[in-house]
Amino acid sequence: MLEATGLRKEFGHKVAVEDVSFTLNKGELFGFLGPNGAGKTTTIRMLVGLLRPTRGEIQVAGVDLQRRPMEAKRRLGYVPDRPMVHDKLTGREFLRFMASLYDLPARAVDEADHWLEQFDLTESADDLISTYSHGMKQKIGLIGQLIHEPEVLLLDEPTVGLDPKSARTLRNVLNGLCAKGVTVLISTHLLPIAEMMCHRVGIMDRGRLIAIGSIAELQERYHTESNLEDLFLRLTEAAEGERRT
Amino acid sequence: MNAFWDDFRKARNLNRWQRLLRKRDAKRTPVRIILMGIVGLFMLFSVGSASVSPLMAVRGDVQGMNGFVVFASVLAGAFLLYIQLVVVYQRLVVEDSSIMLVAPITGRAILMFRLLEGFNITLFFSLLGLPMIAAYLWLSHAPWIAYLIGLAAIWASAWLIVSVALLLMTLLLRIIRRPISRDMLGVFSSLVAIAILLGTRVLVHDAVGSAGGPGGTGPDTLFANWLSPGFIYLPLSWFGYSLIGLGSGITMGFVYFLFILIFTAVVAGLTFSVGSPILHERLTQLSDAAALGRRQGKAARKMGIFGLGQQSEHATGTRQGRQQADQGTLQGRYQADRDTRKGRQQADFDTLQGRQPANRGRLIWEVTRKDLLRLRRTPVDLANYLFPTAYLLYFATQPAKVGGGALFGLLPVFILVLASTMGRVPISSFGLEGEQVWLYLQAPAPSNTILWAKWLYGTLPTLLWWEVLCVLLAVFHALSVGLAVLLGVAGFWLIPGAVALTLPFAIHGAAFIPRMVGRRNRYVNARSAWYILVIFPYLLLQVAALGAVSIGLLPSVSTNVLMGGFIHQLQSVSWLMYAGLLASILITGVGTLIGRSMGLEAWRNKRIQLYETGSLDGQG
Ligand SMILES: Nc1ncnc2c1ncn2[C@@H]1O[C@H](COP(=O)(O)OP(=O)(O)OP(=O)(O)O)[C@@H](O)[C@H]1O
Ligand SMILES: [Mg+2]
Repeated sequence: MLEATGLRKEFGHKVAVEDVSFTLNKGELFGFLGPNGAGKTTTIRMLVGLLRPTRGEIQVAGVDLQRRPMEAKRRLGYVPDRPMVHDKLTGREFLRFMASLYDLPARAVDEADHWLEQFDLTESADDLISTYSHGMKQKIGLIGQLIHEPEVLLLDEPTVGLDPKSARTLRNVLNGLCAKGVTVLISTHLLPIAEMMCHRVGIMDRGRLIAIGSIAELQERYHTESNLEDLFLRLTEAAEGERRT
Repeated sequence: MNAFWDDFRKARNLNRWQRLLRKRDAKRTPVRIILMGIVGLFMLFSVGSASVSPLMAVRGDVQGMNGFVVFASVLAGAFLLYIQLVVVYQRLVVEDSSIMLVAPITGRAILMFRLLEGFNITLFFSLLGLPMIAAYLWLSHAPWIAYLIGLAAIWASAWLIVSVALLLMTLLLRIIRRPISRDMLGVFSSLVAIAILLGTRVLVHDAVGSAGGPGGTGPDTLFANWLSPGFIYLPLSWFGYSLIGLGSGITMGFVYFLFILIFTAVVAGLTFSVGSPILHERLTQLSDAAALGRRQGKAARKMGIFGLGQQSEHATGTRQGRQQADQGTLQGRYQADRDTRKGRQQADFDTLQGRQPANRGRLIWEVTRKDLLRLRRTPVDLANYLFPTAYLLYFATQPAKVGGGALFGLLPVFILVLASTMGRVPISSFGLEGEQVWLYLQAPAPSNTILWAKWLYGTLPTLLWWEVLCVLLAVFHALSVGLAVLLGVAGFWLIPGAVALTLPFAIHGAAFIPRMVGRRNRYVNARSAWYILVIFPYLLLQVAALGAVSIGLLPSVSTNVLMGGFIHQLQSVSWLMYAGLLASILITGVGTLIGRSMGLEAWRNKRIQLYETGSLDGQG
């Protein structure tokens, strides 16, 4: 569904992402892990067409993102780590705006009502977004990316700022989407969540994808029974050690 | 007393930091300095000619001259007060006071800091009065020392205006006990400012109304009425009286100068004693929660009950249905929905080769609408729009016998105000998107659609303003219908053209500097564009309007009133107006084309910059 081959991104002389390749299947929930500055956000931005890869290719449902960006972008949804919403619009107006960006009929916004309900935003849907809390902004931003019914949804640290209830709703929603065949990629620092939700995880460190697979696979590969947290620390530290020597 | 100087030192230091930051953000390129100089000269010239020519016209008539000086002093004072109120609101309430509220800085220091800061701005505008001061003193054969005191008086008046504005704002903060939103406070302060403006308008009207009766009001008796004793109690007039004093001997001038100083000190003292104890408390109480937004929300819900009842009923129905439906059917429905929609989109792509969305017009309108809503809901932007509107109401509705002549001198100022305040609309149109500009790149939205939307957004508010002005001129100033229509049509060419020319700069300079999140100066980098925007329509409208007005108005106004001889010569050359209009139409037509292609180019580059570097730092 989403295929990245040999992605590389340089910012000036700095190499932020190096040789990252993976394929996500239809209906898969993929966890994207890695320490701060590992290059997760950069990779995700390349995957949604916001950053040009210095090298490498991206296919979204068989559509080349760089050759046919419009077509590919229609199939993509992206929720950035900082909520990207217009403060001076109300929640509903923002959804209407987003719908127009994706060329949806006005009725699509009415159809978003059940999302508002699910995320407890019905009450404040007609308030200015500037009055929202961080978590509410995050949620309205997410809904803005759900209404065009993307086939691949990428979320950058979506749980930051969400209350426990919303976090659970989010989990349920994401699980539901996957069940319906949507491919979901989330980057997160919350390893228990990744462990609980994700079918497979990828671990990035210093721009490289150092491990990818289901947790069982990873445990098998590294001959360990330990949980994801230990595994994560072991892998990222090992990579550091390697670099030092 | 020690504490006071401590606070003062703190305020000075803060002021210095602030200026350093601003300077760093606005890199001064030579082009910008030149443009700034040109605009400055323009302003000096137009304000100067608007204020000097009436003096020259009534020269010899001391009463008339003195009256005019008081008139100008009150008028300029009222406008500066308006500007200053907006500035105080923006700086004190909207901007980064919150940082200072967290730091251990006393309320008094914050107020003092804002006072110092506001002073710079007001002084700049006050200096535009220099030509009039010089002309008046020269005509009254005043000694050189009078010029010095005149300078000191204008300096003191700037302080007076800043402290009055700050006092009004602290009073507002004091009076309003309920926690309210920043936006509401902005609306309140705009209202106060407009009330002041309209108040002086009533004063003018009365002064004129009580003058020589119907018909025979010449300019001399007109201005002389400003010497009626009532005005002497109005501190805004004291600058005028100070000048008058200087013109007839030094003492009275100096006394009024002292009056201004003393009054300022009293006001400032009052501000500190009213403001500093409550400042922390009130400013932290202000929420970003827009009461406005809440109200609109309610209204919208009400509409839902009446107008859109069926729809929302339907929505609830389906919602319940959804809740009842089990996961399986839901899944199926979703899938089916998506398949059909994707199918439709696929079909669109096939016919349009994936270039255009099916409904381009709607996308343009939605983006424009979003920006217009933001304009309406952002107090500072709204104030920028209300300011020329108040100005418009003030002058354009003056009865012809008074305003006709004055209006003629003021039309250039009109245009300047129009261009400089409204110019912010297109200039900031890209910069104010901030980080959200990513949304356009993330969605399958074609580049030029966004450009068109911004162009529409930049054009609409100003165009509306201009057309209303033309109508008012026709109604109140006997501007012939034909000329009003011509000017109106010219607006349709000039304004979109000027906006188109601005957009490339707006895009080029658009920046998102995370350090300055929440600061309005995010689009500071686009400032050079602002100058272009000011100069371009200014020149063209000037030509067109001068021509139009010279024929349209002069028959009803005594020719010698304002610009005197110069205009008299223009009067006979009616072809000048047509030439002016024709030239402006041609130039703007070409300008629009150039602006559009430059805009597309700039937008493409901006997109590429974003796409390559992921960074929105301004490059200008
Ligand atoms: N626009 C940019 N210009 C220059 N360098 C950048 C830019 N964006 C990211 N980087 C650099 O690329 C590297 C990867 O950053 P990235 O944001 O992708 O990390 P991350 O894995 O998302 O980290 P976090 O967990 O903190 O969100 C960092 O070293 C960062 O400094
Ligand atoms: Mg990140």
